[in-house]
Amino acid sequence: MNPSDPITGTHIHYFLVCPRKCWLSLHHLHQEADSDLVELGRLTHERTFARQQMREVDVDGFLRIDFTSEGIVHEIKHGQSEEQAHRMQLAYYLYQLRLRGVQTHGVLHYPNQRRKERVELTPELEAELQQVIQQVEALRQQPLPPQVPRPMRICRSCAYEEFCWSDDEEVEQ
Amino acid sequence: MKKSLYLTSSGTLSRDQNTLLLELETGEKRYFPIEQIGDIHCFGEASLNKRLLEYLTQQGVPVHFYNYYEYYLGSYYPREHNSSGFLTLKQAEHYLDESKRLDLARRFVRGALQNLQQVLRYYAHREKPVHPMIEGIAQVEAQLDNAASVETLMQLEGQAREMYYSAFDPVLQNPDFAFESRSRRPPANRLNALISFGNSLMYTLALSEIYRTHLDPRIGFLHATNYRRFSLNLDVAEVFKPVLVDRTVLTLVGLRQIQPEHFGEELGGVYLNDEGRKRFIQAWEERLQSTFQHRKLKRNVSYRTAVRLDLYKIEKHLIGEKPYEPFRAYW
Repeated sequence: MNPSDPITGTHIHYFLVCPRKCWLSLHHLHQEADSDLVELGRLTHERTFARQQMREVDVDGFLRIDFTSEGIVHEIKHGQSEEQAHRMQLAYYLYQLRLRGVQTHGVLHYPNQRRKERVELTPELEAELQQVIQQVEALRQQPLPPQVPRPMRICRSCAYEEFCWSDDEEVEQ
Repeated sequence: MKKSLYLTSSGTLSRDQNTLLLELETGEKRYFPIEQIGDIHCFGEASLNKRLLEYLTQQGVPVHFYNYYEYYLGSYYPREHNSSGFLTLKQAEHYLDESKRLDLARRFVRGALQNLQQVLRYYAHREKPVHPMIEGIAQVEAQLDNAASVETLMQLEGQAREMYYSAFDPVLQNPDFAFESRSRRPPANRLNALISFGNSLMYTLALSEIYRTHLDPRIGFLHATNYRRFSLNLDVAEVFKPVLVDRTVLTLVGLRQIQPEHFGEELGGVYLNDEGRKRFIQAWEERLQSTFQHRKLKRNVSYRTAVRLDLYKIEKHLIGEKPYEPFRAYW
């Protein structure tokens, strides 16, 4: 981990899903490569909005925006179970763009559910986001990843599951 | 679950559109979808080109090469796709710091010795006279805590292995597959040929799994780094060899699935012939794909996955989260 690595939208997203996952990601201990669900999400990205001109917009090397159209920021998601985290990820893009002088709003797309949602960077949302950014910064400084006492329901579908729960030694037969 | 592709006959391997194509010398063409291939093992005369290597790099598929006598030659280990500078520094730190290295090396040996005993216990349950060897290995295990150097640990492991191998003849009671003593390069008899071949497969299995983690295979702890291209895979292999390699060997011979006719003799050594190699690889793959209930994941995991889970445990040891407790068979 480089202390000056910028926080990405994915870090914001991960933090709200599971701080442990966020810590591992901040330390480049990624697990996404072998996950079928991550692969499905990638396919959703690839196969929807394929005719958009401004896809995979890279801002300063760390904000990767799915696509922009008419000055609006669009984020495509495969499933809607982590909606609050998705909203905050998009809010982070809007916030970072505003720091660069771009005032706009965003749209979250759930093409598999045929749903979309408009996201505005309201003062309330921004205040919430600021808190999350501070918490991610504090998390980065922690020497160890946050501990999760036992597998959670969301671990089942998480690419980091096998890493987190690799131990098998505490129950002796 | 990705599969291993074993090329035992000669042919040309190439990229055809977005898939793998193997053209055998007979002209037969076989296609293998790349998404399903985890790694490739070349035993026969394989021809391949750079275009294929580019494709395999992009897909993250390592290739392992063996010579005519089944010796491991080397691997094509594609550019790292999964690396964490943070973890690499921790791994180097655990090598350079003598006490940290000794601690990890001791854990590997302890794991190995416990699994050696477990394999023998399996045969003890089947009325084989192996109790003295189990006790002997337990006594060696008791000395591990006092070992003050990695070299001493290596010696203790060697002693335990020797006792363990002395159980093979009482277990098998098969004059066609007498163990006599451990011999390699070349293996002097059939049993040694089987063990050597199985160990080669174990080393490449561990290497392929390391490729899918953030660990650097060049920095081992029990097996000194610097002298070999890869050494961490040898460390991990020690833990799994008893349960994966030795059990496969003993089962194949015990069930008479491998017979004397499956071997050839050349240059003073004994080697598996084509049919023998095929049988071994089939049994090996069946073993890797067989599953057991994992108590934390609460689902069945294969032995191949178990190897990767141990690599994750090593990562957690290196980042200081939890000391490494090696895989241990309880059955």
